[in-house]
Amino acid sequence: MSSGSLKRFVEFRRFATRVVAGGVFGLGLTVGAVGALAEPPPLDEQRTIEGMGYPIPEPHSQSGYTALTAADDGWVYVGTAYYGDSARVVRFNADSKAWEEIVDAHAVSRYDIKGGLNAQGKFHAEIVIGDDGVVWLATKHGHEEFINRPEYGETPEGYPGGHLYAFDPATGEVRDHGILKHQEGLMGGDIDNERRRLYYWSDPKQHFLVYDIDQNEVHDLGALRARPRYTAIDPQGRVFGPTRGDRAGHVYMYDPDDHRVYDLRVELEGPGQWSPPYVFTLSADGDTIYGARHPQGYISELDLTSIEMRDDLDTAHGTITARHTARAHPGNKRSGVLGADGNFYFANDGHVFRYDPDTREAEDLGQVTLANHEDWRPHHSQGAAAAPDGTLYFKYLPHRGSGMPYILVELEGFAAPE
Amino acid sequence: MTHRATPPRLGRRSLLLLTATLAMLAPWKAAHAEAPLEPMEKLELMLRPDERSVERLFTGPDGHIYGVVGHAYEVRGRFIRIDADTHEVSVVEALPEPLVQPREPLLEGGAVAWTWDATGRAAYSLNEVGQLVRHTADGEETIGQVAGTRIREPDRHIPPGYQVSEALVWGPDDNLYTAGEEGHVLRYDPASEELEQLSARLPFVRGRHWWASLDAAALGPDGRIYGGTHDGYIFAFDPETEAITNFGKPLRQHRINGLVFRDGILYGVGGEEEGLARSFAFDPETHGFTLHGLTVGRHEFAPVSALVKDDADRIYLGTRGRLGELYVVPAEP
Repeated sequence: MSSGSLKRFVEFRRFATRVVAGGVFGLGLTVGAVGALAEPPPLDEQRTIEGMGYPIPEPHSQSGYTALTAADDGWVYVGTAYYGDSARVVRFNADSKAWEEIVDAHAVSRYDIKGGLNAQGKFHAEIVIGDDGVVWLATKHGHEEFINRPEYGETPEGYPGGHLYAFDPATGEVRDHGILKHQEGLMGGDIDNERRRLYYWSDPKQHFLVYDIDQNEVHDLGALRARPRYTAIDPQGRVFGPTRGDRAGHVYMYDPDDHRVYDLRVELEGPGQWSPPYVFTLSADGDTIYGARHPQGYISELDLTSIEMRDDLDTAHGTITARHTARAHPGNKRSGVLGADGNFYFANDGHVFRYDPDTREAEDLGQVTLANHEDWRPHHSQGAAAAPDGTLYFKYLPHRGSGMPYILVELEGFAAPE
Repeated sequence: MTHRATPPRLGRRSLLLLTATLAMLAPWKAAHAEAPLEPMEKLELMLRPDERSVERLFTGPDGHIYGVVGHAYEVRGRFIRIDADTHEVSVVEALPEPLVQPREPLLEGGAVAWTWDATGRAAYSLNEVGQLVRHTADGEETIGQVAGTRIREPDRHIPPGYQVSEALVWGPDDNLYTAGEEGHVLRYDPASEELEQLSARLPFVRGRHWWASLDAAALGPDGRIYGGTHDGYIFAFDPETEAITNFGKPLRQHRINGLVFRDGILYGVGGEEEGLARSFAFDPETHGFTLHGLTVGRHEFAPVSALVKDDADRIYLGTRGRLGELYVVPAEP
């Protein structure tokens, strides 16, 4: 099903559901639904969901986080980290199940350093693919020296900054588009195919960066006070991410027409308190952003149609409405994706959950098991992707005790209905 | 018989007493110089992003702290006031009387460096083309060209080509000091209205005299002016002897963002706009630097723009950028 057909299907289904349940739902959100959200449910330990597990080729130190994307041509792109050394990007073929290395960061950029704090040690940013099929990849430092940043400013060999790479599957060539910001790694990752722009945020200073692909220009729009692993871009080209720390009650919004970043104060409807979601993904109709990883397990919906720009706010440029609509086990949720069927899938302490935006239910699909490695127990996931045929992919960190390495898990059977 | 004068010898008891006294003092002194700019309390700055870049901070005649916050998309700044007692931050329409306060140089980016005289009724600035300007209620008057030109290099405030210092400092002799062309110290005597370029020059690596400008300065308890240069050197200038003493560089990074004395110790922040702000302390008695960590919080790596101290020895710090912030370091108990 094409993305346009899916969008129309989802919109019709949602419309029909809302006509039938609209008034009841509105009441339910304030009474019955609140009751349903009163306590986080436990994991369904009786249920399992079976997939296949494929070790990600070394060398790496695991920890590639959000760098995982499934292309339309059957390739799945996986970014990895290699702390203190050159990180790689590999790709997995869904048909042959074979792996292929496509980027060795130091080799592409001709670094002759042996590694250490200054290495291009991680592909963390979301891997994004343009309409032309070009795959965009971005690096950051591969170390955990977050407190003192010894590589920053006080050494001539300090980490130079994250590189932006473009891999063209048609030719097999990798092009280095250079460093976007001096000494800053690259995270986030969205593409606006119409405007031919890429969006990242820089680490550690958390600046919003706009890269104009055709002009080869970088625009630094300043600090976000946000470190979102996932960001979202809507059909209007606006980029969103939740803020943190003392600005945790906001969402930033980049407006491509104004070429500015705005801060929107979150106004929550529903129980609990707003907490910046870790997983953050756009809905099929482009009007909502689903969020997961609340400390109390809430699933949130950010309503992009509710955005109101205002001049009377002290610390924000406007407001946006969020709703806590479901609740899942409050476990570790660091990966999630919109499925081909329009549902929101996320990993949660070894389980996979499905959030149905029409019923607003979060269903525990069960503990992930592997048909080809029965002794492995996937638990901690980083990175999720959905292929057009409905197959879901999750990266899982090694699980102590089971001997399981860093793997890519393939879960079939989530295609959109005909 | 001749006697050669010899220094008195201390008896054992005196020696023990002296040693004990020094032993008591030394840890305090060492601990004092070691004390970083911590704990740092963030003040609540109720302004929207892009409208809260802290550009300047200064101590007002009423004992409170005042400053300027800039707007990212307009050449328009606003005055802010930090209540020294409550630490409440508010936007104010004007600075307290009798401070002369022309809006264009203070709020619209015209002044690179700024200071008032003791009365507050006259102020002095260095503008973007390196002229020293006096401001009074009657208007402004250009006193003279201070800065020379240099190899083009983009800078935040300064158009390419001018070597403009970002600090003006009053000496113990009531003269105004800064640095100008090729790093020469400039002295302005308000009484005689004489502007004089001295032979003393700020420290620089040979060939980098174009970058020997004054980034920050503070008057020390010993009557010397302590300054930080664009290239990151810390030095002292003696207005009486006109001697410059170069203490070296606490950081590898260029730029000194602010200097302030407290209890005889010079506290400073250095770092480039594209670098990371790092704190240090300098003891004028030992000539020793103590290097501290990143200046502001773990996830807030904004460049530091200003450092001032109030009458109660609290140190205030401002950061620049889309999400500029204000911090205060309490006085030591």
